[in-house]
Amino acid sequence: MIKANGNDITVKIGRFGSEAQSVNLPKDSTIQAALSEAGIRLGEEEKVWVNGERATSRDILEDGDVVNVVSPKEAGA
Amino acid sequence: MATTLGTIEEKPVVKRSFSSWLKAYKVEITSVQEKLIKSQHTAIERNEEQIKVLKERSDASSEVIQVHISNYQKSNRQSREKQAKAANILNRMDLDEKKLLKKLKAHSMIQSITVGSDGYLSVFTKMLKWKTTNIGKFRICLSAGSGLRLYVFNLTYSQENRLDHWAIQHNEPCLGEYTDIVWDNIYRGEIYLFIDSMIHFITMAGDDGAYTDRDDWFDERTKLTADQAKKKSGVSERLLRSPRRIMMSMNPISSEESSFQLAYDAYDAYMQRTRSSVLIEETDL
Repeated sequence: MIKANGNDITVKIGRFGSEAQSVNLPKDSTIQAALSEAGIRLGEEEKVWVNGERATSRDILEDGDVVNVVSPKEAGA
Repeated sequence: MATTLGTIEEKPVVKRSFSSWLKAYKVEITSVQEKLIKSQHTAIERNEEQIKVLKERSDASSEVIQVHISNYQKSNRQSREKQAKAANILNRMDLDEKKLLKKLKAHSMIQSITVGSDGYLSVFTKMLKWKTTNIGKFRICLSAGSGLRLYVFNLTYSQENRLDHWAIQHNEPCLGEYTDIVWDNIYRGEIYLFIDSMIHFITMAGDDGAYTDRDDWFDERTKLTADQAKKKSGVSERLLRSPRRIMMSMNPISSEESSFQLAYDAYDAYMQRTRSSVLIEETDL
């Protein structure tokens, strides 16, 4: 990963049904910025989780964070 | 190992580390991706043969033959895309042991992680909730080394012939719409996302097509909790006849929490007794 400067962070974004991708962002970037960078627009039912906790798009990310964009699904056959 | 009459056979204990589990896991998914690349290569070759045969036909320029050729070419494009994806997964696979463990340990719903001598990575969760109601502490296991197998145990509300969860029976999750999400993460080497998605499955999965209705499972769980509370050793008959006294002595958040705690303590003791026979040796990570 090529970092533009020492302040950059790398986060991984997973989304139910899509391949996970890593994005490089400036330090103190929000989840919204990370999602935009990954080309993700949240659907109505989609919720964002970071480190097992519910997060909002304004939350600040740290280097190495894994963002999981989750939507309700059915169990069963 | 040789056994002598009158002595107990001692099985060799093979301690497994997270690093050895990761190595075995990496071998498993590499093999899966390589098989995929190979099978796509075979499919492409077969299609190329078909295209060659079709082009050599006297009616090769007819519309029907052109449609067939176009379909084979489309299929080949898709196969090449799959091959490229699989190769990309192999090149990008980031299974840094320290980073992964650090991330997993920082997960707010994970209590501990162990690797058993049986080759299973076990992730023990904290008490999970469906909305605001406790549904138990769970153990999510993924084997590596002799095939990838996934098991989930409810360590709090489970008993023989009862479901661990509305979508988990005999420790096997009925993933439904979560199947691709979970297994894609496993095959792509995304262990953290796999565990996180399993926790979301446990706490969020709907019950359409699950083993039972969620409400029915909650009813069963309540009965189980009551049964376990009755069997709780050290609680006198007098106390059992006086639920209020139990609640006063427990000092938990709510009455529901107190009976859960009683049930959990009893079940925890049971699990401590039985776990040693299930997992010969575990390495805390």
